[in-house]
Amino acid sequence: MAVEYLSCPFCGFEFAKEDTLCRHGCPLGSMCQLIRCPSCQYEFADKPPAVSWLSGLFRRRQRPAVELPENVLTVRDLRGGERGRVLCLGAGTATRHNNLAVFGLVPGAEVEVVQQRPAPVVRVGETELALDAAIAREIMVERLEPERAPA
Amino acid sequence: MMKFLRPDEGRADHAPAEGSAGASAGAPAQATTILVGNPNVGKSLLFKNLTSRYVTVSNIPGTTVEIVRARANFNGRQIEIVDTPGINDLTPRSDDARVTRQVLDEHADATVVQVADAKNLRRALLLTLQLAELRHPTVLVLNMFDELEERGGKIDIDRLSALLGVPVVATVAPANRGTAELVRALPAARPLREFSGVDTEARSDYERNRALLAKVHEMLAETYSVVQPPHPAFGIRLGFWAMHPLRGIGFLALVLLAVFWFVGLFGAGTLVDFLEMGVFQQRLNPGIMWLTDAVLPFPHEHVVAPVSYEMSIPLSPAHDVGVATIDRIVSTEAYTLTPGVELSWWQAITRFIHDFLVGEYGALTMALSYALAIVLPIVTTFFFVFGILEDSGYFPRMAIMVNRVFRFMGLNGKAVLPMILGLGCDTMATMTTRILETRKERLVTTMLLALAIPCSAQLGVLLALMATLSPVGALVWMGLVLGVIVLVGWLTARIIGGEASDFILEIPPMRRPQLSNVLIKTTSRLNWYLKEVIPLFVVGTALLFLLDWLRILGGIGRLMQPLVSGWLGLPQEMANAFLVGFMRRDFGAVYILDAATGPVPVLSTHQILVAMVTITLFMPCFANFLMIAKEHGLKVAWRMAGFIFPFAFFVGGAVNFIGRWLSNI
Repeated sequence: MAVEYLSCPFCGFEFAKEDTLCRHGCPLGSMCQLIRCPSCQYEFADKPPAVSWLSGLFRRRQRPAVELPENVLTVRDLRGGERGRVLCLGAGTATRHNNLAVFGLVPGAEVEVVQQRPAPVVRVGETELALDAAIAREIMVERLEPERAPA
Repeated sequence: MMKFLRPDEGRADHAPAEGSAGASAGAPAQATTILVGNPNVGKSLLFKNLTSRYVTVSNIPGTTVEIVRARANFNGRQIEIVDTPGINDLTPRSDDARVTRQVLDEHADATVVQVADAKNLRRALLLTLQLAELRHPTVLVLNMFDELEERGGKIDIDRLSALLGVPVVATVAPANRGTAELVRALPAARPLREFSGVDTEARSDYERNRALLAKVHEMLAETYSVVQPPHPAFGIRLGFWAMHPLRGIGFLALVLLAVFWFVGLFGAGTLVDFLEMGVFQQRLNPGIMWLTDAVLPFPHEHVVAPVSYEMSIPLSPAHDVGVATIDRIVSTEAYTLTPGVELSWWQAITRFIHDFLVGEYGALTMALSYALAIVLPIVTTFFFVFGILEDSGYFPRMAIMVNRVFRFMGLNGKAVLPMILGLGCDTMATMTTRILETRKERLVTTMLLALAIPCSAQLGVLLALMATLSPVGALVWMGLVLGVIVLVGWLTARIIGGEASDFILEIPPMRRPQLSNVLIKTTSRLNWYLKEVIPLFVVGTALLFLLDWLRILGGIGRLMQPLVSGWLGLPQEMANAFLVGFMRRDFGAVYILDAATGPVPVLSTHQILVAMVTITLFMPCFANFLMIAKEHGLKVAWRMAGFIFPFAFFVGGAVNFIGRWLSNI
């Protein structure tokens, strides 16, 4: 089983769910639905309890519109063959950022978009990486001039 | 930002000891060498070259899920070699990383052979720098050096070796090049140089990795250069087509068509005909019956009937080219007792054993011929094609093509691998769902596998059944199954809740699959499959035989009558099909095939469609149930079974009534 990572809504500290302090030795044990952040001791509910599974059935997730500065684009905005320099990895958990970083996708890296559909594919160095459109929309880049192919 | 790497204190003090142990050749008798590296860089192949013990290798990141150990003799010393799952990061965020971490910690004095993809030095070096902190004596292997050269890349190996302070060896694992050099370099393994300027106290793994990457870039600038060749190689262009929005779909269709021809027509047609008719019914079964009669005599006469075998090469489901026809008149399982002879108690016992072995539900005539003549050729051809696709690197591209649809079901494109493998064997595929990251994804995939992905054994029988339907009927069946997959996937995903994991998938280059590798992989999968399947077949048949012998079969059939005849509108004997379908659904499908195309066809086209849909949606087999229980717990397995069987009958009944209603207008 993969470890579930949480981040504290109060201090932003990220930790494994099983590391939550009160899980060990608390008489409530697994009956307790709260999670205590090991850093700031703030207690919070793991997931907002669903009213019913039916409500989950018809829930819609909305995407907030973000306005970007003039020359900042997202990877999703680049076309196939265009290159960009990563400015930041945008929203998402530290786990996601680290998963991108191990492929070399970090701020400062140069990426080339291979294609946008059916799923965005970027090339970082020699690695070709397929991403979710949602992740590509988070990664901010500045456009680079296309590399001149050697004659 | 928690989950620090293991603290570095306490490591430094015994680091020198390790270093000397690795460097001097005469040290401990049982030295350990651990292969570590990024996913899909050829660790397992190198492991095979070093130990001549085979583990499954494929062109997919994440094939090695377990630790494999083997002994080997190098330079006159016995060495234990450990293969680990591929990792991009030593942070124990994934199972693979945790397992690898654990192995490294258990063998504090082991030599680490880091295997790197030479064309992707950046990522390899990131891992190298992470490994450096553990102070193991290390050798860096630059594998796939030929592919690097093909792409116009150059690595200054001596310079790199000097920068890292460890031996660096170039290898080409599939061709077994460089293995000897690696063995020679092993005694020279040393802990990596300590690198200054890297902030080890960084706030998070991410920050630390960024700092390390900066260091990697410095090294790359000194050692790595690339001159793009003017024309990309054919494999690279093929790789692009395979994930192009339009050409990719054409490519996908082409691949599916090829698989269908090879598995569905050649495997399930030509090979099955040959084995079932040509070998078993014409030669083996009569021989076995003759032998049994000789050993266990009682007065009876086997029915003799002509069996015709036609060898043909299929062109399409409806056309084939005949090659040869062999007609033989042989004895069959059915027999009549010699009239007017009373059986003594001894003869009654021999008759019982005779029936058990070679009767209508005989362990030899039914179970073995079914397992070996029908299932084996289909599964073999499927695993062979699967191995080719796997090694070519096509599956990650397929994941890109289907990511959208899978998102709708709460999965992501990575789930395509277990799903396709499920077309071979659902039980094996259920085991493979481990490669998915979240529990939600694993559950949804397991559910869909159990519900609607027909395994190759069943697929073969279903294809034969489909031939008896009109093309429209076949399309209806396919549409229904696909519709069920999407709908149930969507529902399950919504009910289970939780997030799907990010789709961040490395796309390996397309490669020409190596025949030997594909063959070995096919045999190792077959081996697993047969061990799993043949006992189940024998047990299933024995159960049927006992039920039949105790005259219970008819009773159960009557009990199920309202369901089978009333709701599904099928003849009562079909209860047998569903009864054995609980054990193995392909077994049930064989029954339906028999009822549809046997000597006395009892099913109309409409009934065939209803029976097909129902049996397709059954749980694949008892082994699958056990595997679900093993992976997700017994509770989940019961819940799934509790949904699947009623749902299968529900859909079957719906098809029955809607079909009738449509034909009445």
